[in-house]
Amino acid sequence: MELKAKVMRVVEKLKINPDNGRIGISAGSGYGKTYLSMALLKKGLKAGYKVYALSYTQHSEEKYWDDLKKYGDVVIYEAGFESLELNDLIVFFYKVFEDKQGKKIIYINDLDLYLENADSTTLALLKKIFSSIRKLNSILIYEVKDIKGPNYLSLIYNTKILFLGKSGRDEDTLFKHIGFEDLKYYYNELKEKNHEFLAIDINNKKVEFVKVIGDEIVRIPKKINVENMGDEDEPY
Amino acid sequence: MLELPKLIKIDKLYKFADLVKEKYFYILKKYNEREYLIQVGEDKNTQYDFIIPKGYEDQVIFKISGNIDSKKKYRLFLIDKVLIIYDKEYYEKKFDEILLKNLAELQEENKKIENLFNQLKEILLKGEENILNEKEYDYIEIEKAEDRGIDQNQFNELNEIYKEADIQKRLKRIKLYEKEKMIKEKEKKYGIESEGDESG
Repeated sequence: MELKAKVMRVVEKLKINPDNGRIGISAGSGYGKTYLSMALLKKGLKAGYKVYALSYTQHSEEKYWDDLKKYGDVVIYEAGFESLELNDLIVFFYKVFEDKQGKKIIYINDLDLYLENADSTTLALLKKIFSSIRKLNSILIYEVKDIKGPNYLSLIYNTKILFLGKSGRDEDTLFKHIGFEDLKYYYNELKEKNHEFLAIDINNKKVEFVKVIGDEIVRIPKKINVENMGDEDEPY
Repeated sequence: MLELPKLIKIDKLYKFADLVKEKYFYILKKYNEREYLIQVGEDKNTQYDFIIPKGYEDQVIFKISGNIDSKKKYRLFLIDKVLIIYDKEYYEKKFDEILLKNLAELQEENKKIENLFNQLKEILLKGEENILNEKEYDYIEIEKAEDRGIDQNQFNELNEIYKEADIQKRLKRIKLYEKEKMIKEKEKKYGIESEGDESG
């Protein structure tokens, strides 16, 4: 019997550091955003970063915070206001950067709430803060349910890595905005129930399917069988 | 003159597990919920201070009958980052009972596993694709944090932004959560403990 040799594709790890560490996580409710964030934050703590989190729903997420604290230094701020505004987010950054050391991971678990009613001036201020993060030797992770409308899309300019899960809506505008329209073929292959995400390296136009298993974010090997996919390599 | 036993501190769960692997040990003294004086086997020169690292208290489980007894022999195993310390005599008897009861069933399971393995081997030899895919592995890495320089001018730029945002007014509205919470947690965990020997 002839044994066919199988050639494995060697996939390099996606390495995150302050240079590319402006990370967006977008998916509908219940599609695994929190698990993904926690896996990233644990990795960050193990790598020696200190985590500053702005939580809107900290009580319901207390078990996650307690678990996270086992891995390192975590400071949690509560966003317990009656009406959330983008300026409140700026206050959070102010508190975070009172600590003038680097090696921080800044995590916002519900950015939608602040962006909903953002005016253009405040949004411009936020963009300036976002672009400062790299120079301050820090990493930013934000979660949104959806990337829609100009306020959200403008964030993409400051997002280097986007984890995109199912949101239940058409994402063509987002793909156009990223300048990577083939993403729709990948997006259509996402399995909703499995909490799968596309890990999109926006600058390098690379994408992989990933999901969280334990504390690891593993790649899911998949074949994308579409015509006119350009120069995409065969996965095997 | 009596020579005092050499005390070595062990503050990693896996190191403790390695030290007493396949041996029994005594818990001579419990200083508090995190610190214990232990002795490996009968040799008094093998006494150690075992300290559960902060934050790992929930990962050490005592499966023992009654209170810690300095005369009892204990054993442990480390599974999925959880250290389980058990009462040797009592639990090993239980384990033996379970093992004997399930031995016949386990042999049946082994046959099933062997069949499954043979089927997989067959598929592999046929060279079929998409059945055995690449092994899943951790794809994302956060690189080790570096002590690299910070552009201090950035803080000046941020200060300008804060002025525009009327930061002092906003500051009154945000609550610090961690400080209050941590104090309560610490009081709950360590504040009420007695300093004496609780092992009896």
